[in-house]
Amino acid sequence: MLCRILGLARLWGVYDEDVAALLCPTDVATIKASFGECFGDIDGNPVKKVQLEVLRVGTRLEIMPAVQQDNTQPQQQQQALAPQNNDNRQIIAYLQRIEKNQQEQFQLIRNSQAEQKQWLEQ
Amino acid sequence: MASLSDEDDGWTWPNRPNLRHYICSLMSCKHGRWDNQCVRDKTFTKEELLSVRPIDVKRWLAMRAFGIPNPNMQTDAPDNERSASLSKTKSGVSVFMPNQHVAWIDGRGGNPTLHKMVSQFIKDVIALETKGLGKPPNDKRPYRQAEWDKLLEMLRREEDFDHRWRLPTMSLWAYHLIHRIDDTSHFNVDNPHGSHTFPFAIYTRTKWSKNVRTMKQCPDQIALASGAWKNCVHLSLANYLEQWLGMHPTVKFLWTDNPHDKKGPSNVKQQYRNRVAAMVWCKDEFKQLEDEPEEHNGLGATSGRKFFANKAQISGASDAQVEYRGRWVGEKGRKGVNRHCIRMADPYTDTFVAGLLCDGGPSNTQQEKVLSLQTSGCLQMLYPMCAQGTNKTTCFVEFLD
Repeated sequence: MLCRILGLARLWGVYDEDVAALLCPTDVATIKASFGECFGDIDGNPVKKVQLEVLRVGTRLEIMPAVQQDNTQPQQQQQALAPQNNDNRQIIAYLQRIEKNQQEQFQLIRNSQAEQKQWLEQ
Repeated sequence: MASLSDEDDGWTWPNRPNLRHYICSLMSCKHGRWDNQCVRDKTFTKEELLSVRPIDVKRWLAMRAFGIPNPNMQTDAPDNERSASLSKTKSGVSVFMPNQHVAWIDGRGGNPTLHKMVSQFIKDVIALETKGLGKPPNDKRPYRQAEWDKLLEMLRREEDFDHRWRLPTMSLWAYHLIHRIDDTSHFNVDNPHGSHTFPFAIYTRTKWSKNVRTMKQCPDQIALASGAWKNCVHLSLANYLEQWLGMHPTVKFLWTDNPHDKKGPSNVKQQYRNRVAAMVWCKDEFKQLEDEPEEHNGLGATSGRKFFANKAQISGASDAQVEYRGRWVGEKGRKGVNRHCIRMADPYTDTFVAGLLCDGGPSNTQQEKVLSLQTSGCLQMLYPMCAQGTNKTTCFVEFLD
């Protein structure tokens, strides 16, 4: 997992002019050549940086891509509602558990009433 | 020589070697040996320690601050020691007192350092300091943003590996975790790790801070990539680690090749300070950034942490959030800080402050398009040493596929 993170960061640096100037030119050339052999010529940087947003959803931590200004309105609304939807899902799950417990209790009561009825009939 | 233990009530001589010189100083003063103090490794019996009275502690503090046991607060000035130092020395002897947690009661005893006479004396010294009397403060000021940027720029300008990669990466590691550099210097090479929950983040634990006593107090802390490359700890660590492992494949520590548990980190801390002083602080290019020369004590080892904490606050973090990220324990009586500090249950606060410290915002490095990789050859070329370090030579296939 760490290699994946650091490998992508290094690859981004190799294709960035300012960072590449700090790196060993041989390393940069070798990596670019090797990468080019596998994937052909690539315009620009093959790795992009996506801005993130840190959110608290209930008690959970969520790190998700930041909402871009040029996004369309429905997408913005959808992303803004995402945390709220997560909260709603948690509440619904909680209510469902309560309902299930109540159903089980009612079933037990019905069973005991049926047994009593049978006993009285006997 | 006293025995280490009094068998009757279970009292034992506290094992606090770093504080022992304080009690030796106090007992020497008490016995009139201020100019000929007892050796540092001397131990004292419970009876000897119980004979210490609040007036002895006060006279000892007065000797340290004023050079005389009974100073006149109207005419004398504390030229030798400041109040913060006196508070530290008072706490240093307090841990050796047999009745450490019991307030002093006249006629019955207790902890003599908790007597009002002692605390009042320190308050009087603070009052004198406020008036500008006594020893001037020695604390260093924080960096300014321009100075911090210049530090990284000047280090990266050098050709050699240490200045171009090691010191800037150490600086960024300290910056993002709000560390002092001596906390940073203790990291092992395998301490940074990934996370399945957030596969774009690096996690690590700071186990060596003075505020860390249990594993609960060193939870995993996140380090996010920054949008601006100069501030990006992922980028810096990636390039540093690849070269570092290439030079020292079996190295133990992240920043030093000295495997000695104490000397290794200790040396690298001093080395960092000396190199930065020589390569940055002393240079005219750096000094030109100072807009108020002679108004402060300049920069020092603590300037970094002050700057990191200030920056997080300016960016929008509250005091409690900065203290949480910086793993600070508050002073006595400040329960608010203790409540906020070093909890595992609140990863949001840690991540929130981590995000604020990322110039250009926190970011995730992603491949531009899905590339189907047939061979791991180029990936081995890209990051061979780290791949060997994890014994996963195909890890790049995994992440690019």
